[in-house]
Amino acid sequence: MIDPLNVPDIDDGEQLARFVTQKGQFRSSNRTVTQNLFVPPNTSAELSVVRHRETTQVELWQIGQNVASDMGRELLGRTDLVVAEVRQLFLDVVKSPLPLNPNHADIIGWPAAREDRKAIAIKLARIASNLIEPN
Amino acid sequence: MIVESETGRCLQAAIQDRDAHAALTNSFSKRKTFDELNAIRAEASDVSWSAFNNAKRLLDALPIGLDQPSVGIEPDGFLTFEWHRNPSWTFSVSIGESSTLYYAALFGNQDPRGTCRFTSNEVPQILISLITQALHG
Repeated sequence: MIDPLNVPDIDDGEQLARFVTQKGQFRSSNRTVTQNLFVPPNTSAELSVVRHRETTQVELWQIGQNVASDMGRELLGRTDLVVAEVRQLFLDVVKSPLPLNPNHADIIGWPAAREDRKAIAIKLARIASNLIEPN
Repeated sequence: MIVESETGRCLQAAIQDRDAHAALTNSFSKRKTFDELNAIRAEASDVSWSAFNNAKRLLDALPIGLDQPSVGIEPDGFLTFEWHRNPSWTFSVSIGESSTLYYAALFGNQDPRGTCRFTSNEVPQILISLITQALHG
């Protein structure tokens, strides 16, 4: 995990994880993820992700388990994104460390209108990896 | 007169049969999607009854013969219907507690999006057009 006392800025080459906790967030037929995974709530200006940087797979999945548990849901998997590709969609990724999760980051820069958010979410789904199931 | 009356009755019966068959076909072809919708409602406590009923009404209004969508849910309880060919060719519409539908698509390099109202029990023509484009190009 990243040193909480020294959280670095986010490089273009970094990978991000977004955890899947609902069936409608991926297609069971081919494991691709849907836009539902990436639409931030209308009341929110950001979308939570977790940086891979300086984490082991075990740590990453543990964070995922914690995220799902906090939501009262089951962890179904995760999808990975590359920061540079997110930024090409005119969004930004900024560090947003939490007390127990220094790797936490936010995707910001979302437009206000729901239909515009959906359009971007569809593009995020296109660049995201297929569903990766927990070990 | 008797023949005409018999003919009329036969025609009426035929029409009733046809309508009943159409309703049955419609119900049968959409059963899986309705089941998905019900499962999502049961799983997610943040979906309101209004949003759920609006989604059911929209699903019911989809023309017979149209490919059925996948059902999903957005983080704030909006329900979504998606018609998906591949990651670069997909269409999604969201519905919540109001009669406003929010839609967005990705058709290669084009990304149409917008809103429309669903007030009667007829699916707005723009949606039919975009669904058809998502499925058949």
